[in-house]
Amino acid sequence: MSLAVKRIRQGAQWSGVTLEDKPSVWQRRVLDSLLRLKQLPQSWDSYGSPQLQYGAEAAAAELIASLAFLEPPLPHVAPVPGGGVQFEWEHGNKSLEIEVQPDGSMEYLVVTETGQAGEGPIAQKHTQVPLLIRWLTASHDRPNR
Amino acid sequence: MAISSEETKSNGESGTDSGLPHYDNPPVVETFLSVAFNELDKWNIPHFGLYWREIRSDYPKFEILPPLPTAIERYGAVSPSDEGVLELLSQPPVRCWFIHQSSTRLIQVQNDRFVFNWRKIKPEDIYPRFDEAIRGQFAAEWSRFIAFLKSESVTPPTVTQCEIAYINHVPLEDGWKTYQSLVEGFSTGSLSGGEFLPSPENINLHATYLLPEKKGRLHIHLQPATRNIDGKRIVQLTLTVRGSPLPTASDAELLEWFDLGREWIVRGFTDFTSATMHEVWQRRR
Repeated sequence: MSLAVKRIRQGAQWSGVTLEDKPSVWQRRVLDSLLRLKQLPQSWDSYGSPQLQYGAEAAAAELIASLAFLEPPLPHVAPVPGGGVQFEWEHGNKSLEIEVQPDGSMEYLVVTETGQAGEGPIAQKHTQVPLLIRWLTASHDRPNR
Repeated sequence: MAISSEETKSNGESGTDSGLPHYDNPPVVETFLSVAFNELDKWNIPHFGLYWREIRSDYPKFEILPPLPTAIERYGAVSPSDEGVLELLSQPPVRCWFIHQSSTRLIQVQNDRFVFNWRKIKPEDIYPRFDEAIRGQFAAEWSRFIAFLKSESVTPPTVTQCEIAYINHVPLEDGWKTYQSLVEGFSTGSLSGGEFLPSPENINLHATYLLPEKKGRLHIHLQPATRNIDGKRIVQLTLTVRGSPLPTASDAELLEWFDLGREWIVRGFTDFTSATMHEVWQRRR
């Protein structure tokens, strides 16, 4: 059986840019939060944790750029011991955390409206992260109804 | 005749480099060499894993993405549009990224494409030069891919098109304030401001140039962009040459085509950009 798929015209480019003159307000605000973490000193947690590692910073910046088109709620951006960074959302009664490890790999943690937790690696960030955001924002209307 | 990577390594200044403009501090952040071919007979999803097993010690990370479409250059007709195309696929659409342990190299594989990328990851990463590194690395990985196909009894690819691209990022602080200080051809006329028009706020440009004997086409894209890592405003200047060597081209003939494409990119970049910027990028010849 053949699969009919619309391939989006895209290049083989790997470098991270957004082909816009200026970033969106959402992207600018979240990126500013990330860049502020670069100012943290060595052992910022008083347990010897290193500063934000470049692998985490670069992957987090790419994540921000890829989410800018979805414009999810503004996340809380927090440092993670070891040189990583974490994005945290609470929306309705759901929560989502995406942790970016120092090497740029990512893991997620979700907590549903009923308090059930789920977690795992993000191996396909181009598809998994938008799905997680859609899951998070789809919950918004329910608590108010 | 193609010059092997061994020959080019021996003298530092490579044979194919001779006579080409040279910049000590070029603005290139990425380059890639791509080979497109007819869908591989007998290739299927498990082959991605088998291939990864072959290269995993060098390329320990992977990512799954949607496949790249193939834009075939045509002559005497309209060039490929930027719109999506509807295609019938015989298997799930998958492209796999295999990321080198250095994080600066990437191999992209799908059932009709092989791409080798180099990317500047950290500000201190230095462009390793085409003749001194990238050309030889591509040749080695392409040979390894072909050997893998042979070992799995997959019919060798019939090449339909090759592509080589250089992506340059020019941030504002690199010395340009207006487009006419960046681009040679914008020094006069309405693209630099006229009697009525001021200097352009932004320019988004796509120019194409034919290579002789229909060996390919050079595309120059000039686009305003925002760098994701720091949100800085830049101009992305992308030079791409696409063309079709013979379907039966040998590895040496493929490399000859890439040498030609690369020459057009280097000379095209030099013609397109201004002498002022050549000083910033430390042009040596």
